[in-house]
Amino acid sequence: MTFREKILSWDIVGKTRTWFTASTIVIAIGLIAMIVNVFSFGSPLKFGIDFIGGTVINASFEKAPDEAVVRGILSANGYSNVTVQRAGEKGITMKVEATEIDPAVSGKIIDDIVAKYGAVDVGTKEITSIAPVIGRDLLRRSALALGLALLFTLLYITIRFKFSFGLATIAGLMHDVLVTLGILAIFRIPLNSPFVGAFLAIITYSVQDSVVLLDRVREKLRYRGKEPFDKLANAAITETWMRSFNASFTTFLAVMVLFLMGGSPIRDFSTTLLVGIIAGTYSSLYVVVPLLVLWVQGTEKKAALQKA
Amino acid sequence: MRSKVTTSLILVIVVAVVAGVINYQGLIAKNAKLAPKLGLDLRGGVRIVLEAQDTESAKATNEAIDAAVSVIDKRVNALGVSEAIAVREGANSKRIIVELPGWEDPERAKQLIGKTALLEFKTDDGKVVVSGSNLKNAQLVFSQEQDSLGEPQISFELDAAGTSAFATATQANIGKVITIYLDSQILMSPTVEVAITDGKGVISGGFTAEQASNYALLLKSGALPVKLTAISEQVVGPSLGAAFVRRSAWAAVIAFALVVLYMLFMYRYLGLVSGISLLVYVDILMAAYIVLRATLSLPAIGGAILSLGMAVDANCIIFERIREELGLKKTVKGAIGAGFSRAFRTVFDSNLTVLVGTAFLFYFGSGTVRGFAVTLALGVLTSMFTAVFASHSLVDLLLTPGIARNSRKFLG
Repeated sequence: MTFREKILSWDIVGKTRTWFTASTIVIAIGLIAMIVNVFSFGSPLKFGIDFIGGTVINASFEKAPDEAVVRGILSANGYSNVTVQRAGEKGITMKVEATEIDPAVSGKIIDDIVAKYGAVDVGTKEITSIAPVIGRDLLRRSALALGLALLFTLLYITIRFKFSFGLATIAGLMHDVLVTLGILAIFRIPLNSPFVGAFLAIITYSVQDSVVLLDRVREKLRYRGKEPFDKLANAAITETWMRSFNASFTTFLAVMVLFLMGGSPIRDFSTTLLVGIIAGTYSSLYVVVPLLVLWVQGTEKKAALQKA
Repeated sequence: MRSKVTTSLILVIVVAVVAGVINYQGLIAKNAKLAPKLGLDLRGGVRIVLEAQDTESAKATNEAIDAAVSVIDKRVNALGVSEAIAVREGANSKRIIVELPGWEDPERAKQLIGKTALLEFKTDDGKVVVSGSNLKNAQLVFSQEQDSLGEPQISFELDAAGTSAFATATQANIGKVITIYLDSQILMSPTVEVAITDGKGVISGGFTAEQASNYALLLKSGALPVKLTAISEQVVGPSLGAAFVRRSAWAAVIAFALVVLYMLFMYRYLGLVSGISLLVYVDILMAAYIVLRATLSLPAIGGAILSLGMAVDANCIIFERIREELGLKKTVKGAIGAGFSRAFRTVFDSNLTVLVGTAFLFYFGSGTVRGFAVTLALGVLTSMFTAVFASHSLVDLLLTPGIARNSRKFLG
């Protein structure tokens, strides 16, 4: 029996309890991490300066700067609540928290470091300063755009398929969002504006993956005989399992290469994508369709009772 | 059947060749007109966000903000930065986004962009006789006078209305003082000796050469009608961007090769077809980015990767379907036909769902979200084109000579 034939004999819907337990555990761990974060850091997720506002200065100098000395320079300029990190061979990254921004002083800080460690390497200086209001705005507007996009996706799926299909898709999507946010909370990955793009990608991916599966369920329903719905749904999952795996695995490969080669600017971005792809593939196969089965069985039972 | 295959094959080849020429010109021959447009996060530069604020003298109305945008646009272009842009964040937003690609000095940029630059000539009794809107030209000059030789000054020239107003005012105020204000600060208070009728003059205010040249530039581009405050500034080092783009390009090539290898392993002969059709896909997509001037930034790359995933997915859906149809003991030809037509419904539905989503993201989202939506939507459209035309006609083409007609193992 080949692997493909084996897949066809899997009883995925029959083990619904197992899949839901697994998902619940992962989501619960993430939620616990968020709660722990609230108590130890003040917010469930680590928001980068794109969202909370602040100033980040990156630069490389002739000689490698010492972290403690740079910290001293920053506090001499009035900034004591800072994070200083070596970046690369001769580079340094300084992060100054939101409440303390004054972009005008950043030039002076650079000058002070230059006095100690020599000129800035051409083209390495990078200053980012963002008012907190921008981040809040970005989040608010992105959330609004996303909310409307989801609402209309639900509407569209209801028109093309059925309302229950749309609800199952949205449930799967919530699953992916929660899993991804949980992982971001556990590893305290900083969220910056590219994260909005990664997150949108995950959500789109989740919807697209679910729609392909639901399409197969719909097709099977069209030629349905006396078959119970759970058997039919299970067949839909096993028949499309290979496609789901192959499509996700290739996308995963592509993002993995980007993760390994893209360097630091894109690392957090690609980590978010990787988690989202895994969660999205899992949820459409093991959460969305089993959920639909529960829903349909419930309504069919109700209808049967009414008849009797 | 035969002619339909030929037609779509010709269509694919024509589109792919046109796209190839555009890509060659833009990416390899470095034709500036067809260079891909990189976002500021990838190419480096300064990005400043300004917010209009109400003051007692000037309210931040819609018209005032639009006027401010055009003034800033003049100023940044006068800086000589190529492709500098100044845009309103949204139709009714009070924010103006200014991007200066390749620029590295946010302080100077802020000085030039945020200054109101309102020039006023006032008489003793506080009446404004001439203002900056009457200026025709302003430039940096160095004093030729004996007592201030070499001092940086701003020479100005007034338009017709300004010239006559200035002539009348100087005529009436001989022996009195006319004070010159810039942004309500006194620059100089010279005593009028003779009537000035040619509308020309110089302002000296103890400037450095750089200040005088900045002011001249500001005066020429006109005063800002509202008060603007910089609420965010971002400087991305150009070399950081360049290194990143180079690495990402390599990452894309390797990722593409891995995906094709995997498809070959999984689907053999069909994998080859998907390899070719993905190549056509990347070719057309890149050309579409170039032609439509889509801005490639980090979030946009996210959209691009996702759309590549969806293009592969379209192939997987089709190929798996063909396998299933083969399992139903159809002929190879019949299975391929049925596989494509059934799988197309699925691909169409899933892609259309995504397109509905991106339309809303584009309409309601801001810059970041829009960049993502544009690249994703282009990717989805391209992948539908290649899945329908390229993959299908390639499978049919290779099938006709009989390579795979009777040999199921070619189909993986």
